[in-house]
Amino acid sequence: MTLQLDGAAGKQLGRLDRAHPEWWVYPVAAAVWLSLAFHDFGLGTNGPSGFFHYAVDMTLMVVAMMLPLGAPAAGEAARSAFWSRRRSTAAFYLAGFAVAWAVYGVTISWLAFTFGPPAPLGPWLAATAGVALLWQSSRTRQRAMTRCGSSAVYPSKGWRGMRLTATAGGRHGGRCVTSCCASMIVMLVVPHPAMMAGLLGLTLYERRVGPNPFAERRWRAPAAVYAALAVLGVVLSV
Amino acid sequence: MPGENVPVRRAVSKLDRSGGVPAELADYAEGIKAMLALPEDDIKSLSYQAAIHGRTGRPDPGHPDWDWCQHRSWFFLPWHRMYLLEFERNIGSLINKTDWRLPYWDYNGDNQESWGLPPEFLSPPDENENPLFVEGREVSELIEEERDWSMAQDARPFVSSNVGIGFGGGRIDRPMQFPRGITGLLEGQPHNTIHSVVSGLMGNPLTAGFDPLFWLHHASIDHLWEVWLNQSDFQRSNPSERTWLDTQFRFPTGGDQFWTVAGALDTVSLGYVYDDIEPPAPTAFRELRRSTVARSPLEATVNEEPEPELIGATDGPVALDPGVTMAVNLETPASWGFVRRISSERGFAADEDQDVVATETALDGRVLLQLENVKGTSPSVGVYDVYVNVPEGEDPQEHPELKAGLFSTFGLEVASAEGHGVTQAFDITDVARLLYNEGQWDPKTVKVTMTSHSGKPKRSASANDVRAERVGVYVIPAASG
Repeated sequence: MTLQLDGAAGKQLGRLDRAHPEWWVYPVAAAVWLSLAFHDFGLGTNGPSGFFHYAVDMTLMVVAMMLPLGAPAAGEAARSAFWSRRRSTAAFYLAGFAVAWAVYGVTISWLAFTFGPPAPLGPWLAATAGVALLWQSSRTRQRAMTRCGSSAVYPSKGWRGMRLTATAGGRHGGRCVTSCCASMIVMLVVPHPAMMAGLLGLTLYERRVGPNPFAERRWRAPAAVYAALAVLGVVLSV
Repeated sequence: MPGENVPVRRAVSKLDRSGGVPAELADYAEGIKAMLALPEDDIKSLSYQAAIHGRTGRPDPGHPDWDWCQHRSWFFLPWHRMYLLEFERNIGSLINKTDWRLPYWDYNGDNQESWGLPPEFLSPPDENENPLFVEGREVSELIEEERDWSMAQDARPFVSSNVGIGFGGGRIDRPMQFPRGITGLLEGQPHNTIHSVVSGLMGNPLTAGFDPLFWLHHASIDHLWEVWLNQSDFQRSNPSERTWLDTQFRFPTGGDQFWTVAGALDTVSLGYVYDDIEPPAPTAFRELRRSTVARSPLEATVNEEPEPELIGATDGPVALDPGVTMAVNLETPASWGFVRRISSERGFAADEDQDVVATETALDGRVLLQLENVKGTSPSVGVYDVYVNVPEGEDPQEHPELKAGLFSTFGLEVASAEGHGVTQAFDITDVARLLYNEGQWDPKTVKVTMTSHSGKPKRSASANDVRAERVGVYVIPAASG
């Protein structure tokens, strides 16, 4: 049986696909989120396979969390491409974006694995939330946040165009890593979808308030959350 | 009546000159003189005010008050409106006339006297006595195509996403001085063009605020925003997106003055109105464009942002050297299944026949040419003339009917140093229709020629490093099948 998409529903879907060729990213990210929700993270396991397991989990977590934030820019790049290359343009842009985050995910996994599992929870939570708080208010981070936007790309045909698109996605991802790297390490301590959701909420909040160029206003609320987490960590420690 | 007792910004050419220098300009000169006399670190000094827009040298990149000008995005118009208001208040307080309002340079008016620089800004017998005069301006009168704003005037949407068809600029999610962004139609022409044509201090966004003419130029741009909204042929409106409306900007006033974009949209509540917001008489350029584009069915999309589709692009980056001609290869839009359907209904089988259907469909809508991600730190040209399909071996200047528009390199160096390119679109529907009607439209290729508008290089042409990442041709179909 063939699904007929005639009439209003078909036109609506066609319009959605035309306006947002990157729409497929959201269900993909949601599926990864769901799979992580029922997943046991492997930072207790020793040996190379343990690290591999843990790194894959952390990278998936980081990428699934950040991919939806890169999707609108991927859509923008796709709409600047020939119709027949729209989906591949969005995919290459997001691949570049994801690679930047994957490199970061593997790096923090390696750090966590090398220096031991983050336990007990209290001191680690206090330390990582404290680092996130300091980074949140730093000028370097504020500058990165101001520049964290899409990379305009107008891809030409062929592999050259795709390579340029992936590079632009990678640059965008790199700026995103710079602005959000510290908050991600909190997730090392509490690798749970609830923490993912909370941090994503903070990131979205910052983007919502983001148009305000006055950094002190923008970072205030997330900073308060990191401060609260740091205090919670101290309380749990004693 | 709303705005009845609100101070008026008047057209500079219509000020009362029966007694010599008009009172508004005499006050302005007095205010500028007072600003010039203040120490540079005084908030009201011209130096400080100009630095809010931008500065050369960037001695203190961390200074919170400086380098805030917004270009190449939908923040261009509201930010400059706020900037002008603060400047106007400073002048008013320095001359103790709080109801003083900045005149606007009405180069788009019907009055030929307004097309030149206002006489009070030209060098007087003793130029040291005239604070409105600065050295280095290169023109005393604008020609019609430099002051023409018909492409912006006819724009339907305020904002656009990937192609520069918006009146006010491209959508970005947070303000930046020189973002990667899309130039709005009004910003491109006449704003950028006039900056580049006047040249001198005006020719660089980091020095422009030092020229007293800059403020009248921007009052004119602000005026044209009001005129655009006031046109009755079809509805225009400002964006309603919270991202735009809620964005805040800060201006130093001794304390801090915070403005939201939403708070800067109603000029009456801001304390000024314009003397006249009726659209000016159409220029010859607009007449030509209207004659071909008026039948465009885009009125149906008044409140919707049209979705242009790329149908052609250069194979890669191109150098924009004066005199260069580049080929943009066209394809039949792949999304247009109806082209094949109509072709089949008409019994067409050959690709050439499908090209005819595709071309006719495109020409019933809009055809746009876009220079994309243009970068360069040593442009040898201030303003380019952009032509389409000039016959081989012929002088583009002999074919004004094939001119797509003007591309100014105003701010290109700074934007490129920030790592972002400049993107600007031209509506070439009228040129394409003309070529098609004369059997000169090639459905496979568009040839784009760039020449120096003034003929005079800004600097050695060999230093020119201006490149476009891509030159694209887009269509907005009249019907989607």
